[in-house]
Amino acid sequence: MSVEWLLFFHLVGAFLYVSGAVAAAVLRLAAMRRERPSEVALLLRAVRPVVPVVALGLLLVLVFGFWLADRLGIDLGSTWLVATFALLGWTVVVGAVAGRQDRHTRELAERLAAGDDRPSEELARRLRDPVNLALNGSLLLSTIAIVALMVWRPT
Amino acid sequence: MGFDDWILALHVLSAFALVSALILLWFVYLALRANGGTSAALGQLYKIGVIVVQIGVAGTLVSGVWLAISLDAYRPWDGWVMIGFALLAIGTAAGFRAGHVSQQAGGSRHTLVLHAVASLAAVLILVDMIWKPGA
Repeated sequence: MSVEWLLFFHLVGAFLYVSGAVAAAVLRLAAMRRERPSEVALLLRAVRPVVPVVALGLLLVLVFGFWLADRLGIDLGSTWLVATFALLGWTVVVGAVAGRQDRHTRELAERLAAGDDRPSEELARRLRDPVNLALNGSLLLSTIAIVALMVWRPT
Repeated sequence: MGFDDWILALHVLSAFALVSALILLWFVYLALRANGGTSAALGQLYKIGVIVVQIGVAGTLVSGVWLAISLDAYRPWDGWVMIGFALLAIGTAAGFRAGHVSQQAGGSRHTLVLHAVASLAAVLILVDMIWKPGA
């Protein structure tokens, strides 16, 4: 496979991964600003199809990234690459934890929406849970940092 | 890092913003379709997506023109640069038309087709940027 094809699939993966992560964060933040359970459920349901997009992006980024690094003779121990691997690992672990919490919040919103669909204090508390917000915020910041590392490649 | 490197970084970051907004709008349009075409929450997200698309298009276009003029290896009238401009114009037109149609009742299918055209244009721009045909 030529370097152009490797770069193409690596960049497609990067665009899918970053775009999916940003879309999930925006949908999650938008859900926090709504009060009606049906609207919260609608926004959190929209996050679900984002997960396979992010996963596919991550797979393409890693497979074609390693392949490209090997082809171009890039040192995998470079500071910017090690930092990128650490951030990618962080996003995977934190994404799994925060995603699980968000799934429970969505299920609560769906139950409430199926009932009288009135604002609920428990739902609002879960949506504004500081730990969950910190985890989701760190995901977004890590993704932005990964893009910055790829663009600037600090030594 | 020189000034052109910063402009290149802006070019790439604008491209990421543009594609992120395209992906976000995919989920908004699909959720609108599943929801029967109306939702205040999705309407707000749509507006955010459109603003980020505008920033992304302006950022990639301005920085792209700057780089084509500033870098000795390229010229604004190079074939692959012109193809990039044409694809950006097609994608932008299809994307804005998709946004317009999405506000009309019963236009969800048409919206998705137009948004698919805009997304395909983005993929073709990436192909054009990597292979640089005619360079």
